[in-house]
Amino acid sequence: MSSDFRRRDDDDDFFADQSADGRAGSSRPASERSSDESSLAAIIRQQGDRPIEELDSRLQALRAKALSAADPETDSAAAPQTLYDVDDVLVAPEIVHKPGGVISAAALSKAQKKQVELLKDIVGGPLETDSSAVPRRTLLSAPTWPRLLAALVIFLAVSLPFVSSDFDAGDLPPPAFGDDDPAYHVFTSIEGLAEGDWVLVGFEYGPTAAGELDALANVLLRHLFAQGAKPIVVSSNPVAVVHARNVLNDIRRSVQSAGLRLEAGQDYYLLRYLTGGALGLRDLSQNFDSIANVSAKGHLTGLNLTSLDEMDLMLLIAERAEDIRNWAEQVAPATNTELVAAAGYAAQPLAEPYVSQSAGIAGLLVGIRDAYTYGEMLQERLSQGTFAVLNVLPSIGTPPPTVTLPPNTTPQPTATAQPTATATPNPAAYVQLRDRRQEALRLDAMTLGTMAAVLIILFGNLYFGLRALLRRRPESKSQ
Amino acid sequence: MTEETIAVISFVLTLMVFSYVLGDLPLVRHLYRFTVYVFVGMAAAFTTIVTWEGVILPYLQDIQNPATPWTLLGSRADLLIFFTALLFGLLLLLKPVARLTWLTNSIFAVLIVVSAATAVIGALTGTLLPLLHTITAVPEQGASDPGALLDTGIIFLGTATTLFYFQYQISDGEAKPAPVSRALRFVGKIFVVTALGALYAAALLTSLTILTERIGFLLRFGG
Repeated sequence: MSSDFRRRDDDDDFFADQSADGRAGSSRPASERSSDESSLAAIIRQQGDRPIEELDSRLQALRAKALSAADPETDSAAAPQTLYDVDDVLVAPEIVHKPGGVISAAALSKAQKKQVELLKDIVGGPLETDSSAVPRRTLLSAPTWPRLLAALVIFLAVSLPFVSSDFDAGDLPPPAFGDDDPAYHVFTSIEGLAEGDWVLVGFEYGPTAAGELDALANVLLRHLFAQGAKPIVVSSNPVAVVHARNVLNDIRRSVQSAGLRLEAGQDYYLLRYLTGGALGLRDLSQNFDSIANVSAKGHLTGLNLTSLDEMDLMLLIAERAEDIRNWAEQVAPATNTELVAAAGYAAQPLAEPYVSQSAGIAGLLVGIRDAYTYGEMLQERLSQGTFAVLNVLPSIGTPPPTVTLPPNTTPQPTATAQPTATATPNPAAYVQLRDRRQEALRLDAMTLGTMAAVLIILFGNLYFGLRALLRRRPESKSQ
Repeated sequence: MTEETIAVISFVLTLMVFSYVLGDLPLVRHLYRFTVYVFVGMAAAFTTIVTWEGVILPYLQDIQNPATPWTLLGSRADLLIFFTALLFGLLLLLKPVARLTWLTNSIFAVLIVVSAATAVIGALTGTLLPLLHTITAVPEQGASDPGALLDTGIIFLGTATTLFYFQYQISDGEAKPAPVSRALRFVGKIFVVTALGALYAAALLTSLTILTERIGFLLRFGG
């Protein structure tokens, strides 16, 4: 390279437009720019006739890197295709002995180094950019349409079962769990509860996971109520406390509309929010008496419970694997009471290692498929009449008669309102699951959506794999 | 608020969230952001209300009326806990004052130490020891059940090689790891990739489950 600093006009302008405060010159007044040119830029220009070879190798490398980074064509061609290998992302850092004997630098993976460089570029770059230089993106611009297409295909696949019965994809889940299935253990654990048994329910999900876990929470809580057990609901997530109240209120309304009793503070309890995440759960296991004494509304519950050992079962409904781990670490080891769990698909891989008698969680339900099967088993038990508690549950009690005082004046006769039908108490309301048809449609939609996603992933891999292969060939030829 | 009104709001918010697939387009980008702001704001509000109702208010009521045993600790202990928490909270608010940084850092140190101690104890008793037992336990049926034995073997191999893959290596720059070490790391890498694939697939299933619920809602509402 025998060129000097002034070989490229655009490079020169780039340097000239940089002011001392780091702002791009194009966005500043001309007078200000001229004064700057007389100072910093002018000095640089005066140095412009020196050959590049006089720079040391570090500065030459930096300049070459800056020029290549400033080239939008190479940038846009290379950046989006970068997929890191496992070693790049999860590299085992090497400890290098330095003369001082102390580790002097953090080991970063390639991906992390690239992100650091990117951050440097962002932070160290001009504070104001020329908005006209940024290409205006439209709906049909190149980076957008593949995403639009993929989203459209998945939306279409997921929508089909809801609009037409012709798209009945795959079989529904089995009507019962296998005997050695961890999900079956959850069912039998709840089935073994008697009327008045206490169940601690960890409600660790909010509205973000409601679409997946509400179905599980619904069947599990209804099963508990049908057994006559008394759930005590706690959560270390404040939003989950609000959501738990909504779910319980929905069940209460449906049960009461069937002429049956289900009251907060009598048949179930919603306790106060556990602050501090894992610390809150440790507090729950150590100071259960204090926590069980205060409801989510800040009222006294009147519960006279002193230890988690007084619980007959612990049931955890969790959105994140971290919540399952926290319960398995902070609560399960502190008591002899059995812990069973229900989780979403995303938490399943990390929850599985905890599912065994020795590892804290005795049984596990996962996702909407297990919710469907669980519901089928509940309906089956209902038809067999094996819910003993349903036959003895009291209906809404008739209030005792009160003394009626004779009227002082004879009231004027008024029109008698038309009598309304009184609901006959229906004990089956405890396990009367709604939207079974809707759940079946969702399962079909999931099957079609999964197929579409797999096809898109395969197509993407094929496309980018071939593209990378075709790009490598010319490079290897040129070498 | 009637159920119809709630349904309309849900419908509009769902569409605004789905606008994210259109990308970073003028005007459209604000729809998604607005919904996220609403969600974050609501979550913050609910957190404040729930904390006030369930955590702070009982202590305040207890202080005002010592006869009510809200926390079963006794009024003196309640007072102590409440004012300690209040003091810690106020000290944390002093973070912007540069001269008092040592004070706020001390509070953070207490929190971090207590959290770390709790996490370590929990990880030992709830994760490491039970999982160690699972990894090393020979199946009850022993050699009569080759499937169970194979399971245990795979779990052991996967755990050992994955730990080996993430080990910290002492190197003096030029020296390359031994072939055995490279082979073990390669096997560990296969297990890591498999685990990452499983996590990705599981996350995809969860997303699809939630998507079906929303699509079903939109179609029911629209139809």
